[in-house]
Amino acid sequence: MKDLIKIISNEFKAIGTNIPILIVLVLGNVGYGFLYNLLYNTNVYKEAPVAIVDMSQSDLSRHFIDYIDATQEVKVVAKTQNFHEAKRMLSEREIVGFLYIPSELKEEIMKGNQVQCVVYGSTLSFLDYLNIYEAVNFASLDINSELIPEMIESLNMIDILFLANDKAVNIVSEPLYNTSEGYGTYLIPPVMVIIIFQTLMITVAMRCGSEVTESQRHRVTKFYSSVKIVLGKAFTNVMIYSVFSVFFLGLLPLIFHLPHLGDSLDIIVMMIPYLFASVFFCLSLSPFYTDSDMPLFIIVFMSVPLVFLSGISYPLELMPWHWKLFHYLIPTAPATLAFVKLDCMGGDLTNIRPEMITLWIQCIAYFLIAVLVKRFAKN
Amino acid sequence: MNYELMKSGFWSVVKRECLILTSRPLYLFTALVFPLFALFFMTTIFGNGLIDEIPVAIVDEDDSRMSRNITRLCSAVPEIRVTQVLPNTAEARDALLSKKIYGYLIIPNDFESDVKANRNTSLTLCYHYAFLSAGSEVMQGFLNALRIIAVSPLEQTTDFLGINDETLETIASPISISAHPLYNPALNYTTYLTFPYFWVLFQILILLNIAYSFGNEFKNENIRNCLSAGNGKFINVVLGKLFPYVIIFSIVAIFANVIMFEILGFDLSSSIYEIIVVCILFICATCSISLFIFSLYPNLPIIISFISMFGSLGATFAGVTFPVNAMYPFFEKLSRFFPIRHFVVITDYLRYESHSFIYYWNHLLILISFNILIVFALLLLKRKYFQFGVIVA
Repeated sequence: MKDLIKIISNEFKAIGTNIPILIVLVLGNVGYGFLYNLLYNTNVYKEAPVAIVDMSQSDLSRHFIDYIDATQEVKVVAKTQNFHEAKRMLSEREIVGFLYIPSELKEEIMKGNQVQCVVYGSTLSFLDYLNIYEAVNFASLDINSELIPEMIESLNMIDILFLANDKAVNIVSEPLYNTSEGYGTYLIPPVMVIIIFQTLMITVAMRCGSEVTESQRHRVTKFYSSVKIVLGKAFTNVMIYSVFSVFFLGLLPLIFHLPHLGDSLDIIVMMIPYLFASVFFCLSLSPFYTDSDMPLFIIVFMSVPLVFLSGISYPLELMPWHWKLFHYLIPTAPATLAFVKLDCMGGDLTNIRPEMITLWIQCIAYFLIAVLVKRFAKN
Repeated sequence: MNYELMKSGFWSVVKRECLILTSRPLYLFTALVFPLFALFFMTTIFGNGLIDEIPVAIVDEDDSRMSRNITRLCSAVPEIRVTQVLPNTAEARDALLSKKIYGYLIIPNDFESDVKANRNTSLTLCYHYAFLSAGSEVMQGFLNALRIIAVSPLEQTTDFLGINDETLETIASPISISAHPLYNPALNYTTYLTFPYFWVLFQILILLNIAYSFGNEFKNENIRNCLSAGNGKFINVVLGKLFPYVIIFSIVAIFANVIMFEILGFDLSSSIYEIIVVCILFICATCSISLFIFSLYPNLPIIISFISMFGSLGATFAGVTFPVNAMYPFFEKLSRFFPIRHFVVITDYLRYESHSFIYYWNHLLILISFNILIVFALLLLKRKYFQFGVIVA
């Protein structure tokens, strides 16, 4: 016990006097935390610029355009009668899509015929496409419901005019957990969990790397003492990162109005195996940290893949088996999912049982590997 | 020219750098194996690239002929797959939390009788928006299935009056919308993200490799040896050290482009040679900016954290997933300082629109202009070197 406390205090001292590690810890954590939140703070993508190719130039088409412009998803920035002009605007990225309204719109509807309008949307960003698709579809639902009586009249079906007053079944759509339908509120909570993992990895790895360069890493001869060293390093980093976890998962969601439905105690219970598993995971990889800067390569490079592997941005079920396997090997993947379930979806510990089991198994497995690595690694 | 370069020490710095690169397997990993891993990752992670058959549930509180009919209708659309029919919302929430489903449709109690009696009733479709991509797919799937159900009260009466379905559809939706997604008509995620994100990952590696290579010279005080190999000229040191990297990265770029456009058959409206040239220009621009950032404060352990941050921000500023013009104007402007932003704009044109040079020439010019930073880096490093004799990390 005495040894353990000594190791912990030594670790604190080593970290506290290592400027690059302090930079990562303080500036890295605080900087990343605020920066990512600010980047996505606009949250909901509104007013995507679109154009209308209005060949009809009728009161009906103008009415339709008003409906489209009224949606929050898009903003009509140009109206033209020239299809090629709209295409040019799209090519110059002045707009993200356009709606083509055929010239016979009004006449055909007066005759009781259906008219097809065409949405051309850029898919260079799927959000652009989603916005124009939703805006035009919702606007068409509105205008169609207004047109029903006219249609019935024009079809000369006066005997069914009463139908127009019939109550159709309402379809209510309800986005769950991310009620503002924002991109930031969807992406940032998992990213916060991933940043914790990354900066934790960087800190631990830089420390291991500096031990190599300063030749501090002595060969440990006893199994018991390598257990103590691994535990000592783990406790130190977990203590430091408990503070940063409060910052990332407690404070930032409050400042930036992120979803915050989880019970704090549940989140703490989830974070314990996550932080330990992360430190042990990182220590298991220590033979690869041949100097203090190299770990950054692997860790920074893995940032984007980790977002995908967590199964948040792309469903895990659709990935090939070998990437699903990775999901179970890296602590951050199940932890991200567990955190989203707790804090964004308002779940409790029973809902994150599979993730908790995965994390604890990782914790034990990586602890043993880390101890063995410490014991048998070459100096 | 070659002779002059050789004489001036350029080639001896190149040779020295090649020896360093082959001295440790680690360098081979970071410059060659990691980029190939990134290629493998990005080309395979999305499976077939299509988000379809997402598992959903129907909360059938009504359990009537009509509600079973709705379940059948929902099973018929390709986006979603009805895996469970549940009696209440609580169970659906549980299924949602355990990720068995990504959304559900609530058919309320007495739905059929309400519809028949022409009373106000509604169907609620709930979709998971903490998982945005799957959630929006569920919403579209349900909406497609339900379009016809919305007019089911009309259908009852029109059936009675002998009006056919076609007329009914005309009455219900006189303006119909047909959607034409441009560039990526199948909304395939592999087509969408693989190319730009491979380059996002690759640029992180380029940035780090270059900073690391130069940082090690200064950190280990090898800069004197390097400078003497370069005949005492800093320009030889800088260009000679960059040269082998640019060659290795360019080979990776050619390989990646051949894999993506020739073997996997991604859409490409321009020729593969054009896109390879742009990729090499991007590699040069990224090397330059990495060297420039390093030269601002040539202390590897400290500056490398900043370069890492610059690299990971590339994923955001590429503007592929969240459009940069949707961010605060400051960030939109900031994105222009990232070569990846211009690269993505140019390659979007090359991939989807032929004869589009007039639209992207300015981005190309900016991409090339990033190389000017080498001159500044050169001057800064030189000044630091002569100011302090050697820069000690």
